Amino acid sequence: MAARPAAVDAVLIGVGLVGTVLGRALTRAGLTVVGLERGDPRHTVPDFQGPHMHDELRYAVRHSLMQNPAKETFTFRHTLNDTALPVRRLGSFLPGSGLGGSMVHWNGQTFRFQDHDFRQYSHTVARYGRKAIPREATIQDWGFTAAEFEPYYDRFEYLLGVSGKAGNIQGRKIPGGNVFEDPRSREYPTPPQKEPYGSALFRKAALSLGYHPYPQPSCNLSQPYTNPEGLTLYTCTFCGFCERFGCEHYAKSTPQTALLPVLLADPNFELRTGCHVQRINLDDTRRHATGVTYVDAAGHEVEQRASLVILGAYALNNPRLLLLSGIGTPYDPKTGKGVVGRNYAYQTMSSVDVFYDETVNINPFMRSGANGTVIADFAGDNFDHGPLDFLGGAYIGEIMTNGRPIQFHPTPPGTPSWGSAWKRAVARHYNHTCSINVHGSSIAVRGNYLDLDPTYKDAWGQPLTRITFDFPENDIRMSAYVTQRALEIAKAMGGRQVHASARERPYDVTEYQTTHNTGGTIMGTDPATSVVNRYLQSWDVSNLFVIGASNFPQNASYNPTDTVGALAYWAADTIVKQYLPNPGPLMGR
Amino acid sequence: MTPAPFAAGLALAVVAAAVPAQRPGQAQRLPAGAPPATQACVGCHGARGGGNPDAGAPRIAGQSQRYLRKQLDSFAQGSRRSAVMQPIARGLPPEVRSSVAAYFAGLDTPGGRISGEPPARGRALALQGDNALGVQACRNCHGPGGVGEPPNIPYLAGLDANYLAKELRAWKEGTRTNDAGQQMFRVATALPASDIEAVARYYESLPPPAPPPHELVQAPPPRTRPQGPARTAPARRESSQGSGVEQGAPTTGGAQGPGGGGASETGQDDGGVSGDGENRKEPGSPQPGGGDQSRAPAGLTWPGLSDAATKASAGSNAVEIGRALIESGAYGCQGCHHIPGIRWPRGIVGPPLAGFARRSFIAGQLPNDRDTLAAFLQNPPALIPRTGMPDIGLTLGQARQIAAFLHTLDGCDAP
Repeated sequence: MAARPAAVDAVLIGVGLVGTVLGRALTRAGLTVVGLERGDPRHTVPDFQGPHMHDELRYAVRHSLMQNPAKETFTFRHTLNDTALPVRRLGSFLPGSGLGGSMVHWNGQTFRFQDHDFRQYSHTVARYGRKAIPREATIQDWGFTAAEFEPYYDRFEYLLGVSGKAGNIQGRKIPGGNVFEDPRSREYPTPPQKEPYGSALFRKAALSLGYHPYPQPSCNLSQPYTNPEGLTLYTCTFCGFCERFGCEHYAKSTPQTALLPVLLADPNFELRTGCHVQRINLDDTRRHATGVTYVDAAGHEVEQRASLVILGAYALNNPRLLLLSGIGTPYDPKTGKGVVGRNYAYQTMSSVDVFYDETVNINPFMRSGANGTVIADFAGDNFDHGPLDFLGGAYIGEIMTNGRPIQFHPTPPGTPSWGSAWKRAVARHYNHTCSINVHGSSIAVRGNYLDLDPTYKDAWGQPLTRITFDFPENDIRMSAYVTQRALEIAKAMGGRQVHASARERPYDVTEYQTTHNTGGTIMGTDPATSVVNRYLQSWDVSNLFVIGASNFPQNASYNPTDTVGALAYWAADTIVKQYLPNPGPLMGR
Repeated sequence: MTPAPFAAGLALAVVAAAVPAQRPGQAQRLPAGAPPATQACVGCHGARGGGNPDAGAPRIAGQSQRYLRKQLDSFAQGSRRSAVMQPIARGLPPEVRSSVAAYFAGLDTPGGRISGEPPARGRALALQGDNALGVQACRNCHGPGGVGEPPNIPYLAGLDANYLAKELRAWKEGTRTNDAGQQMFRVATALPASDIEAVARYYESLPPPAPPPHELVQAPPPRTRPQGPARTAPARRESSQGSGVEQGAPTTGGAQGPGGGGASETGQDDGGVSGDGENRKEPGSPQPGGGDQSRAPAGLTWPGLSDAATKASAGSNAVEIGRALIESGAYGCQGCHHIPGIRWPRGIVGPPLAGFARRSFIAGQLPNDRDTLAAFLQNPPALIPRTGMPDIGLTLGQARQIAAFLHTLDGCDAP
């Protein structure tokens, strides 16, 4: 018999970025809110402390801040014809677990998507014709424009204190910023971080080729910043332990540093950690959620009743909980019908290494998670795809994040992978190598999707998420083309040797690429092709909002966090202003 | 080279046993090779850089050369303020600041004060921080045990609590602004006065570290090494960094907060940081105040105090000995005072001493007779508690000899 604590106005599934933003908005609106977090509570003090926070083995290699695959993981296969096997050790992507979610261990790269990303289908048809869309692609529009969405980006960025340089303020282009971006209402909250030496070499080379380099927008702050919630962040020290680590310096914008202390102090809010939500409960009509059932840290089942349910788990776990709860029609890749699990996408990463003489010191250890210089000339549809045979693109940047001893040892091709020759090469090249990232988009295709695994279950006996994915041909062609452009820049950077490796098939789930999994509960304006409406409200259950990168109909060239945060504010604003005064569907089916 | 741990421990024990009996600044024997400009420092900071808490002068022995050099630049530019240090720093040309910094950076001076049980609150702030205040642990940057992260981040262990608290208040009040990222401003602003005291007392209770045996990052081997005695500062940068100016200072595209030292403070990256023989060649660098100093071997090798005294006492003349004591630089008189007959440095911190014999008062308060002067010199704050002049560790005999010399100064102004 499950315990049944008092009903509350709203329950949050997951207290990461989405849960924190929604929790704050809803408690401010006077609602009583319970936040359910599966992981542990964690705070800058005392949990992220030097020097032990700089334990590369514990955090970067053994993934101490991430989901524990011994209890809860994913199964993976490339195609419908394969049998999926469990991911027993995290590799290609690293979902966070614990208070603050994945944003605790993020790098802080804070990009906005562009208007043509939000309207990829209609924009492509308008510019290149329907034939330009690959046959297998299931790309579609998000349901809003960049102009409609701008205030929410602005609000989120001012919460975080993003350090950057605008390239377009209210239509006025500004050299030195991202001149391809859509108009932003004002400058970034704080100026860009310092430019590392390797990034400066990249900037000069990119300029010489006629491109438009700009400083990567960073949530490792360039100066102290007090946000509208009254919380103060410090200046980043370029310690080189950002991604996969918590920041001990209060210098990385995370729920912990930017919002959680305010939320936790609110008497209307209650945080419960160690709570694994098993399902969202529905009433007999199956159109209305009554709350959630979770298992607490002691193993007891608890039913938490609530008038409003906010699902803000990691992108891969949002569709899973809908499937486990029987909400929405599961997607069937054979027929193309159904929506939950549809349009799973990833990102298409590649890199180019520049090996220098020993006279050029790159000092890779003196880095932050989101420092460096990038170009957006080949992102999204910022270049003419007319003569090309693919959609999408990539931003290119010298944005190295660290020179940590276990995992950073670039060597030129041909170097033995072990032994004394390898050791000599590591010592020779450690401080004299630049790595250029090619951070590419991912289109949605019919065969890439998420569902429940028929065989493997988690520690609570529930089926795991099954990922069926391989890189679409379109994205392989995109990666080949943009990686070639990156190679040209690399050659102009004055190194002794360059080496490029474009992305190839098959997708390798064991090799880290990026934690930018998207789709599965995608947003849209048609219930036949989306799980939630443009306000992120479930088409099927109107008092359920599903928020996260799982809303992306396909994935853009840029990092997703800024868009997830803006989506959270977008949904919060709609709930407070439209839904709460008049609960019910916000869009007609 | 570091001595074997046992030998080091033994030496420390021996010195520690000897030290408490001495007054600060005593036994100031300067090793041959200390740059002449060190005369400006030793009066307050001690010949071995051990500091003088009563004079508000922190221990500087074993702080990195880069850090000490930056502090001198900051004093000169005003991003650190001190009535004493600012004029001294302004008087030192950049190369001299580097050589002085290198000298103190290389000193392995026993020290630290036993100040009883450190406060638990100070320990908690140092090791853990305070989430409610939004203050991170000091240890995150200043290292376990407060030993610093050279070359940029200073050690705190064993520094005088009053000094540490004073500096935290300076960060808070905005009179010290020389950290690149304003971290210290944020931390100090968040700390209430009681926490400042507590954390300062905690670090005072820890033993200070020995200077690092070598820089953490080895510079690549020099491609070309300039020959000849006259080595200019840029050439030294070249030889130690090996790859030109762009590597010396981070190429920057972005603004970093105000108060960030900027290239002028931090960009200077001098070679020879390790405090080895390299620095001892330093006297070749230009010196202010006349070339004859650099031609005088005695001025360069800086004989130990006893040598100076012995030489002077050949004439059995207290005045001569007193003059030699000052001229030796071991007590740093000229760092603050312009003294006729002492060519360099010409301090402007305290009043010039020309015509001192004809003055009625010492420091405007005490009768200027020989005995009172000697007593004052031996321990100035004992007679005038608010004086800026520190106890520099003179014996009564030495004080009398210096007083005898000072009372020969009856000219108007004879440089």
